[in-house]
Amino acid sequence: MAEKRRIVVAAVAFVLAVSGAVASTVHVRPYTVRPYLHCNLYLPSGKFMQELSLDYEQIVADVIWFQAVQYYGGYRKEEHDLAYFEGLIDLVTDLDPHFIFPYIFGGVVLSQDMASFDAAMRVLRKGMHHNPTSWELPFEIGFLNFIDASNHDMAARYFDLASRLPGAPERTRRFAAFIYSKAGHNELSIRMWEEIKETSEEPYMRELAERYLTKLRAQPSGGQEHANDRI
Amino acid sequence: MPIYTLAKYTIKGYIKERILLVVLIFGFVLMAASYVLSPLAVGAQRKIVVDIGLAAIPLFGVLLIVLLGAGSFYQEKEHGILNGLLVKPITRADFVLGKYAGTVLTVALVMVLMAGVHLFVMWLGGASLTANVFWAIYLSVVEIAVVAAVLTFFSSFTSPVLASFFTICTAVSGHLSNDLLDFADRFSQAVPRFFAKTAYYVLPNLGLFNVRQEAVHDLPLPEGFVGAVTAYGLFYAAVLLFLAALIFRAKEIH
Repeated sequence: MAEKRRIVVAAVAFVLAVSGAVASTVHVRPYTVRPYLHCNLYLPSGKFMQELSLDYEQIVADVIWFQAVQYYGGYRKEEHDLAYFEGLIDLVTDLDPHFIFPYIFGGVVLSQDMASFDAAMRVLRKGMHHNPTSWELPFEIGFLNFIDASNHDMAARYFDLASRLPGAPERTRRFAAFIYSKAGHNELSIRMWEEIKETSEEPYMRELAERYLTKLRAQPSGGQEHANDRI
Repeated sequence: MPIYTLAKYTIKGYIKERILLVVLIFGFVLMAASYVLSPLAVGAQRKIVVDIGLAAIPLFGVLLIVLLGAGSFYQEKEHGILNGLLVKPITRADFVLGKYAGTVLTVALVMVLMAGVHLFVMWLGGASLTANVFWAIYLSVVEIAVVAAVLTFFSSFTSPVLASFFTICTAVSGHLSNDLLDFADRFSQAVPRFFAKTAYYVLPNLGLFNVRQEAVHDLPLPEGFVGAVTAYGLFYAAVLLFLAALIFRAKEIH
């Protein structure tokens, strides 16, 4: 009898403890969810994080990259602006300077979403400094120079440079040729984004391209068939 | 021969410990998680699989060395086994080397098993198995041999808790030792510069064993690098084991 009572008491205590744990978790949840704006307010420098990571910079860079992607996701959901985006990209690339994708993604977002062409160029040039044999980075610089700054000469020079680097695909030469032939700006932009949408292995990049395509097509001179004819 | 027998005895003792199995399972789970997590890492799917695996192998190695190795000397003393062993034709240096060899071989075996799982996960994730990935794993094992020598050295004259604490501190500062050289260059006075430089040469330069960045991005390693770093690790461990054997020889065992 006493044994039975002990089991019942233990079971009741267990149920109470579980209920208490669940209830308190639910109660404290609003205090733990902080907007990304505050999370990234005190972003440490790359040098500091390098010391702190004790030679495990790669894994720390991955964690911060996760955070940067989430942060961009928050912006897309209109939770905040992208005030700390550049800092996050800098941190990731300080920790892992050979991680190419953050330079490219950062360059596109800084230039297209934040209208900060100079910041985009700085990030991409930093990437080129650390990865001089990567064709993707000069290609992106050429691309943004054409799309954003309408600097055809500079764009053609970077596409040309990209086409000479190891592993460069055929489209880098094609883009250089397009620009040298001085086709219509808006139409060529559409064509370029389409090319990226079709050829990028990264779904997120394809989604970005689709987004910018929609934007461009909504503009008055954005006719796709017309662009194809001219090219 | 006594070293071999002691190493075998040490390995058998460790295999009986549940902690080995727990750490091994945890390591496997972590590496499997990298495969699950990879789709979330935009543009870094393959990188994250390689990163997590290559970081987990030395990290769990150090953890095991500290968890298993620190108590090893002490347990034998506590259980009275040490007195029994030392009356046999075994020198104290044999005892130190046997224990060290057993610890390193056990942890190296665990690391090789983890590496096997990691290479399989990499293959599943479509990451390329380059020579640098194998060098990164190999140098992690050499790093563990150095950390085990540090632990053996401290275990020869302190308690397990202090030996673990000192080993962790040495491992942490070993990963920061390059900064000591930078500090030394910035000191204008001779005394602090001397101390910073001495600390740089005394502490193990564990940063040398890290070629994970080269493995992840398939960057070239300098010619002769792996050989030079292996020689450094082995010489460093040999000096510490020599000191540990000297201290242990002079120690009174009751």
